[in-house]
Amino acid sequence: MRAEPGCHGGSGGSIAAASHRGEAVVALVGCPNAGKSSVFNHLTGLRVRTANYPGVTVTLSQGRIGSGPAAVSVVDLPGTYGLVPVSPDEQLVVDHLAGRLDGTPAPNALLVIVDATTLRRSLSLVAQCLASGTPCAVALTMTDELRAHGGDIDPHLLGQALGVPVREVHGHRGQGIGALRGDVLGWTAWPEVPIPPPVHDQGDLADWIDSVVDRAAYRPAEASRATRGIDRVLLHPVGGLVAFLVVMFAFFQTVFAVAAPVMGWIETGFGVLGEAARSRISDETLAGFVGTALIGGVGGVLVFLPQIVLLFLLISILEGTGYLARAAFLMDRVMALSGLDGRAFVAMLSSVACAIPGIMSTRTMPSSRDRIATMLSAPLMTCSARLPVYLLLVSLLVPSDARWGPVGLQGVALFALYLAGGLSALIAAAVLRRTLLRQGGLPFYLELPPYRLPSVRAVLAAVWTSAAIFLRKVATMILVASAVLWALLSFPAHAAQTQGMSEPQASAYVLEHSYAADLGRAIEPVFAPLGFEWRIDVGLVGAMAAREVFVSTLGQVVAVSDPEHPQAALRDLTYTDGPRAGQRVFTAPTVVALLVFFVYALQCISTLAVMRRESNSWRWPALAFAYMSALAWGMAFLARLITVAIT
Amino acid sequence: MDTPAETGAPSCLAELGRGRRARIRRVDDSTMAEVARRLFDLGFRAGTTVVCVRRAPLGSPTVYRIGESEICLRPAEAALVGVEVLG
Repeated sequence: MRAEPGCHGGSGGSIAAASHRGEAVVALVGCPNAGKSSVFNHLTGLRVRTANYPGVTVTLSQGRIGSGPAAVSVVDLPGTYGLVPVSPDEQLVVDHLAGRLDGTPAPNALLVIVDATTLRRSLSLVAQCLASGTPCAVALTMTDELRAHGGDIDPHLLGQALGVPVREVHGHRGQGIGALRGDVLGWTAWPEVPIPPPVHDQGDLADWIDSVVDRAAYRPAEASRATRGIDRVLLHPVGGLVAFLVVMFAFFQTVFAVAAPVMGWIETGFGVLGEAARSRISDETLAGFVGTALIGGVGGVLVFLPQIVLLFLLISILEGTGYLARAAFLMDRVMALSGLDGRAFVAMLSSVACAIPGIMSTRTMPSSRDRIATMLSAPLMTCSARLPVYLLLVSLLVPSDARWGPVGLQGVALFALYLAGGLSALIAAAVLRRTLLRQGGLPFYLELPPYRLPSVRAVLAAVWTSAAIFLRKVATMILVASAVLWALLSFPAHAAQTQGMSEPQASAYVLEHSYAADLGRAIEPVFAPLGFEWRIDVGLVGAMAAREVFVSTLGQVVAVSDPEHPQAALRDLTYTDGPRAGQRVFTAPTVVALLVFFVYALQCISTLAVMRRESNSWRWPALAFAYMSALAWGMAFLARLITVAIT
Repeated sequence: MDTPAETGAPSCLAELGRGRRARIRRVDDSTMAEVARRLFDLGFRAGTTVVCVRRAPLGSPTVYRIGESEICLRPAEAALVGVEVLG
């Protein structure tokens, strides 16, 4: 899936790779919101790959400029306000800069991105970079905004005061980028400052900062009236919350309403393709493999793309305007209950559409422990794949005309399931943050940048990167898994036995004698206390591909002609053998237990695959699968006991 | 000068009321030196003027205007910043 010849695809990117090629490494350092990503995107174009520090979730972007022996590898470090680490993630970056990481040499030079509108604050970080002894240069951003609001600065004088080259760039329009690229390629000419700034004593450092600000002829901008005015509305105690709900509702509706039809087209399109392939291939096994496993599998991967693309489009627009920080500010108190901070909210909300983009969006969170805690709990949010399962099971439990006053009880049941998912996710995060992912004294601070127009380039880059990562690094795992599941559900072949049967009967026969059925019978004792018959267990095996497959697998088991709508046949399904032969399978306690099981179980290989990719380890998906399975079984058992007691 | 305890005036940023201005006296670095250092990097420096802009609807965090930027802090971090009230 290489997009262009210059792309470095492949998996397991390491920041050590560039130095193996003998290239110099220039690292971009800067405060959050300083326009660092924008500068990085302009410098490197889309020739970017992401890399991880070995064994952890801290992700870096890496690009390359120039060619031949003079080529320079540019690494975009996570944004930070200072180089005295306050979290394990920052410790890693600081160790990297100091060359203390095994196998990852220190960068040869630092390009410090400085937002001219916050010069005084940013100079603390600049001072720490200068004092590191690594050759430095400064890229000065947002000077246009500074001057538009009555401020001013002389970049040349700033360069003299700092003793390093200063280049003015406008990330939005790409002005000054060509010259900056030349500067980076000529990094060997960057000086080491003869007298490092006094970074250890805060009084001395403050004096140094004052003198640099004076010598650079700096005049700060007046506070943006527009930003103050907008914030008066958007952060108002009442109006702000209403606006927040409206924004999040619109956000969510867009993801759902725009993505859903596209996903429908993809599913239908690949369904038609698969059918066409099946009818043209005479060998039945090959036809099944090509039609179901291969084409169906590709469709099953691509179906996630609309949501991922849309979600990252919206998130990066919200981030670019500055509203995402406001949303985190508004929701911080709520998320603090679960031990996370406001920035986890969007990832949690996104997981209501689908945990895949939700887990991917944790990349915007600065602390890796918070990221892991969010990843491990986000799959409990009620994703859209659970909906068809819930609709089927609720219809078996509650008659469609059952009402409680004006309220339909089916809707109440559905709402309760959504609520249970959301609450469970927050509780799970809280438990994880207080046990496994405990950390002391990690401070919370969040800058509210002025409202700005998002840079089109930065938005597109974010969308492109997320889609590319998903296709390159997650798609293979999903494809392999769906092929394995297909094989389990369709082998061994029974061409002779099924001859002359109608198609639903034939597919029911194959399924009933498949490896998946063996598996279903083998795990029956595990699920028997929950009241699950082996055919339900086969459905659970099928649901590992995606939860909604549970519906069609059950449909196939009971041999209905329309496997997507098996309600009636399931209602009458009875045990075929054993002590309960003749009794109904889908009794109320069993259906309730199944519903609760689906609330908690992590039945989604794609989620596990994306968790593996985002956490850079199998440990976390394994843990998530284990704890959610245990929780699902326990809660389902409890729900069954309660239902038996009250019915 | 009266001590804050006698006048009831806020002595740390966490106690500063909405809309009030204060000058930072010092940032407490006795327990968490690296957090104090990060507050310095964020602009919370002795002698600097800080304004309490607004609290979140649910009471925390609080937005402070410090230098040229607006930073939200929770009470735990704001309590480290010693201030004298200006108005």
